[in-house]
Amino acid sequence: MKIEGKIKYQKLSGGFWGIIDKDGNKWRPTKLPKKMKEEGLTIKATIKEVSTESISIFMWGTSVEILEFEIIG
Amino acid sequence: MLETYLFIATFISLSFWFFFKNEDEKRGIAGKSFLMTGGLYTAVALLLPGTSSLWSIGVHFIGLFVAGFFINSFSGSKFLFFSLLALMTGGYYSAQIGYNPFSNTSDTVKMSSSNTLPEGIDEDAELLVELGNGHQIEELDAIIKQYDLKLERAFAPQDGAVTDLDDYYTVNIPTARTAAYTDIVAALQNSGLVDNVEANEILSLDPMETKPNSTPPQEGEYSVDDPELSKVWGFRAMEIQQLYDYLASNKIKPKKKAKIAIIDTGVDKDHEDLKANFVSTRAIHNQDPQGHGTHCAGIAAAVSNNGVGVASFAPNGSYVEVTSIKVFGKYGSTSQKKIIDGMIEAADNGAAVLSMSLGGPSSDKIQRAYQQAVKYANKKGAIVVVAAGNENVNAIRRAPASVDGVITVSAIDESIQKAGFSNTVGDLKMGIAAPGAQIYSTIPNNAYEYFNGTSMATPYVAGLVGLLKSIKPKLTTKEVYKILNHTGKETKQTTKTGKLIYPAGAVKELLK
Repeated sequence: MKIEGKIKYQKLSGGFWGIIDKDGNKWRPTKLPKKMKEEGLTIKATIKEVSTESISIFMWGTSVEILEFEIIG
Repeated sequence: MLETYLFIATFISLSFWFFFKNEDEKRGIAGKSFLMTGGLYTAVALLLPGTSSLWSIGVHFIGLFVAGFFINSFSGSKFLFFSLLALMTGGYYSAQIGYNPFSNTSDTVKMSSSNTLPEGIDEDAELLVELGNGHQIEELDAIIKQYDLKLERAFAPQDGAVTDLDDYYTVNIPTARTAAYTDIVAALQNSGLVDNVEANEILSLDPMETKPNSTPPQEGEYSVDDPELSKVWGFRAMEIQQLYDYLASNKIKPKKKAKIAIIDTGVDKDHEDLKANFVSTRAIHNQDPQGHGTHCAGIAAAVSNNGVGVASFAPNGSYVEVTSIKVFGKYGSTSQKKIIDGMIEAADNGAAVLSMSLGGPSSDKIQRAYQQAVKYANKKGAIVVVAAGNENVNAIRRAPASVDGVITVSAIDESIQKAGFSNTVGDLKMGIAAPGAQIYSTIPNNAYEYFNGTSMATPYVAGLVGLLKSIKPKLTTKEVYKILNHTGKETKQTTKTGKLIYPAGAVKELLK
């Protein structure tokens, strides 16, 4: 699945990086590359849902693996 | 993968059948090879569980003949013919294993190729299986032998008579057989011997994040002498001084000290504001490299009136004690099995309250094991308190928030409104609210910090339930919830948050 959205740090349950896409969907990457860890970055990414990691202490967003990404702004 | 290799062999045989159209003997061999490999491919795809459907096989054969006729048009040139054959077979194989050599462009970063195992499952116990009623594990021997599986009983409750948890087994798939993961799941599901097969999930944590509180300190508010209590806005909102006054003026004594189990990242047992109330279940649980568990422990059971740090609902050490059940590892991940193991260990070690600040999406499969564990804990006398979740959605779509038999906690902020992130609990049987925004509590190494989340609201309720259980140890979950709900205070969105706990009222109601 391909998404375009913004990187947002979520100050919840200890804090984590999330992506909110153009449609308002919330995605929580299980591993976010360092280059993407910047508040407000606009990115394009190819993601894959990781249903087996969807239960977490953060309780926010759909857990995804980033397959490819491109920083566009 | 056998299916893929056989299909490629079928395609090569067909291609050679076209290529040797002027050499009868070789063409005959290629034709027989085509029939044999094609037949084997069809048989494997149809008979082995978890492979292709009839429709998929049909599409494959159409593609096969189209590709065969295409390559036939180049049979006049050996170089072109064999180049095309190599490209087509290589391309098909790459597509089957998920490898894309062209995707890694200069401004696009490729992260990984696909894996045969789902992401995030326990590599030592990939599956969790619930054996059907009346069946024995030996009946699965054929599947176990076929895939070299190792099955072990997943949980070891002391009292197997009160739970079905002893019907659960973990399945270890050897590395050499992980490619057959889907087949193994299908084989187990189709065996008729198991009620449920699910991936043994890994749960993950990230580093903690903190935020300073904007509330100015107010000195002299409380009868206890904990200096940092002025930073805990929730104590004012829940009128905790009224609780301290009621307990003291009515000389209310506990019948039995209640143990609160923090099922989390571990707890720093040596923290100055926890150690007098801390009891160890096992030494392995008593470190907290992450910090989340120690924060929750301080909310539920910080030592009150000790001249340092913060306080909890119990004004002295006679009411509650706190223990740690560490289910998250150093790198912040664990499996659902380990969480349920933790619940069982807490219940078996006399916990009166299980405080669980974790959750995720709900489904029958995910809930099934949680439900059994909650029933087990309830039968052992423990009450399970869980977080509602942080997505601003209905918690009925989340687990264990929506599991029968748990008290589910939403978070409110300082203005007594639902915290923006908090899930709603209005559609749950036992939803309640507690402070969960900018909560000041203990973190490892004698430090204190502010955190946000329903993770923080949950141990407030666990702490109150512990206090009530210390006064009346045989309280059930339903009895406790009835008291919390009846005495709780309205929030600005009670239908979404449930009522805000009011500890003084709850103790008064208990003693009526």
